[in-house]
Amino acid sequence: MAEVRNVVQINRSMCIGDAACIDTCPQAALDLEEGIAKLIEPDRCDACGLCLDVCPTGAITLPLGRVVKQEASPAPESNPSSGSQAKPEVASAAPRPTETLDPRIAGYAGVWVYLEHDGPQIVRPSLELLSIARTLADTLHVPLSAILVTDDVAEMPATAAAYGADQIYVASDPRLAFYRTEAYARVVIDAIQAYKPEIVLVPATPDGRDLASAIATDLQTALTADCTELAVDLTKRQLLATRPAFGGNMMATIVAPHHRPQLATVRPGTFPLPEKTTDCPATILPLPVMLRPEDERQEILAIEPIEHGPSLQDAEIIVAGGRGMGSKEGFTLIEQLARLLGGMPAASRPCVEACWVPYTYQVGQTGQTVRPKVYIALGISGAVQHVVGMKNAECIIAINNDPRAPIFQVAHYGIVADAFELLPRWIKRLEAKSLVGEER
Amino acid sequence: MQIVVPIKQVPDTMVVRIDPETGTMVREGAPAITNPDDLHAVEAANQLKERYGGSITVLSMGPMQAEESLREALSLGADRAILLSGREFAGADTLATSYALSMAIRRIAEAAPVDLVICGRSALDGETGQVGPGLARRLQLTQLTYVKEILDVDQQARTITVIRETDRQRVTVRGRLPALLTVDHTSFPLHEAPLPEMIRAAKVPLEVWGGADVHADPQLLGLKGSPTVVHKSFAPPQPPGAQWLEGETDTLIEQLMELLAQKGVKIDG
Repeated sequence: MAEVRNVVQINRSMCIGDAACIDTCPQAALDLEEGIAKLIEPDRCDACGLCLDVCPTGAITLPLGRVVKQEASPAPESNPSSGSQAKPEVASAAPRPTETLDPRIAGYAGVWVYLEHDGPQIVRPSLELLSIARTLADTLHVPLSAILVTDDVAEMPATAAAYGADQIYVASDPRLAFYRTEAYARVVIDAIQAYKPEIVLVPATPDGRDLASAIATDLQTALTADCTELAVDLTKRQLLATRPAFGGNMMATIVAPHHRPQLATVRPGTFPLPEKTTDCPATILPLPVMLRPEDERQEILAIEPIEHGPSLQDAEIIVAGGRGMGSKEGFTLIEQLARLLGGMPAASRPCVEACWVPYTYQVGQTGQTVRPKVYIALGISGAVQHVVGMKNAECIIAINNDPRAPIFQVAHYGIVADAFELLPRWIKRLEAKSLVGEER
Repeated sequence: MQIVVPIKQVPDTMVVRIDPETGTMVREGAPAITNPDDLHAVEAANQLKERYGGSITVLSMGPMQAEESLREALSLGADRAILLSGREFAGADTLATSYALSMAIRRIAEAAPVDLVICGRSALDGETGQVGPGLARRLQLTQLTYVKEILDVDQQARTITVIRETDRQRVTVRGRLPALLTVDHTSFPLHEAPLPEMIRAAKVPLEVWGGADVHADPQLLGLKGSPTVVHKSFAPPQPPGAQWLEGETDTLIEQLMELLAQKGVKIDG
């Protein structure tokens, strides 16, 4: 269908009920409800923007810009069933080769990031997505939008703007106080159907995966899980979503040639946080919250935060041990070195499975993905499952007694040595140095 | 209480090799195993059956070889086993998979309503965790993922109370039945199947259904019903390899200290 469901948004608090828009609308899509203008027939709105011109208070906006009708468009492949709706072009966006697109996917434009939040704070994995989403949006010449579903917006829209969002769709309702799949999914699905983004990125956190799967199923569209690289093919406007498969033994790039939006969840820690800016004029667009009875199937009885302590994801220096550390006791050396270097200790999966260290230490496919400045790997062989979680570190130093260990492939610097000989002396050296420092 | 547990047979990823030239998986020699998380889902169902009575149906989609996995699940306490098998199901992504499984569950529910569908968190090969939620949406089941504990099932009030554990919090939720759970494997440790159970499992007839048996629209099955397409697959790129630091232990330590200083690591002192 060659239709853009880009419809007007009315800011209820700014509307003075003068009805100028209602008189102007050629489609009779607007009416007054309780003295305030409302888009009563969203299907009829063709985003012509005439109501924006007559509104005395500027309460009406068109998030994707005005749709300019092409008079007697010669495009032969334009969908005959679209009737009165000529092939639209979003005025604010750069020209796009829409006529070459599959009619099933034409009309979808824009890149969205779902803002998962912990109370009044957007979680870091969502902010990270704004950096790659910016790149994708710039390549496609479309705006970068964020979508926030909450009961209390707090400072979150400003934060999203500071990290690069051009516009922020906001649904705020007391029933959205806590994440509940059905309620949150309804709001996001309604928004996607109304504004038709071509790409929606969701952090691959537990709740993010839960939500993305629900949305993709209802919209019968493509969802690629746990991506580690994202790019677009501009001519086809296709998202190239690359992810590890088979325990990280293989990488696969997934595309969705005939479906929109293209959904992807992205591993936390894969992309850096975007630069924070201060001059960030983002548009806030309120979303309606229309929950159905079947969206109220869960009741939250209690919430208890899990205290993680400092996160590996924020650590600049990580000292990680592997099976080669031999035991729980071996790990005390790892922990000492981490402390002396002002970093955090970490581990590969076998150490967690052997119960030497807690799961919070685990780096890799089934653990955390980290990108510190320095990653020191001791006694880690370098199984693919581990490497996918740390290969983005700026500087990797590997110490292992087996020169053929695969960890030396990904490391920038390698030392073939026995960790139990090197570590105690290194620790002693560092302790001596810090002692000198204290005396000074 | 009727519980359905969808399970998957997967290649053991610890053994899988990738041909670095072609970027494809070398399946030869890779043994097929029952997806570990799914066995924990069977265990969760079994615990509920012990507490509240009822029956467990295990359901899989795959080649006939997947019978092995269904038998394994039977020996862990399942009562009935159904295999969706046929060329029409091949090449399914998560959307097409949840469609096929949902149609099979609809057919199961024709005889007696299904109260719970319990899935493992994710499959070892794809690690998407998308099929469970897909089933919940298609069958309008309350979607409860990352379940750490099942506190209570109230069959009168038709509710289930669970603790979901995410990366940030433990959330106690009461959801309406029917519901779909994906369970945390650590909470439902496996037990050895006792010999009589293994003998019983071997005797349970396997039901094999095709697409037509579950009234599935062929356009929505398998490769045809899958919106995602693998554009390319490749072995992870090989970095150039490490620059070696050599020498006596003390020399190495000096080199390490210098390297860290270069990287801006401040060492007390």
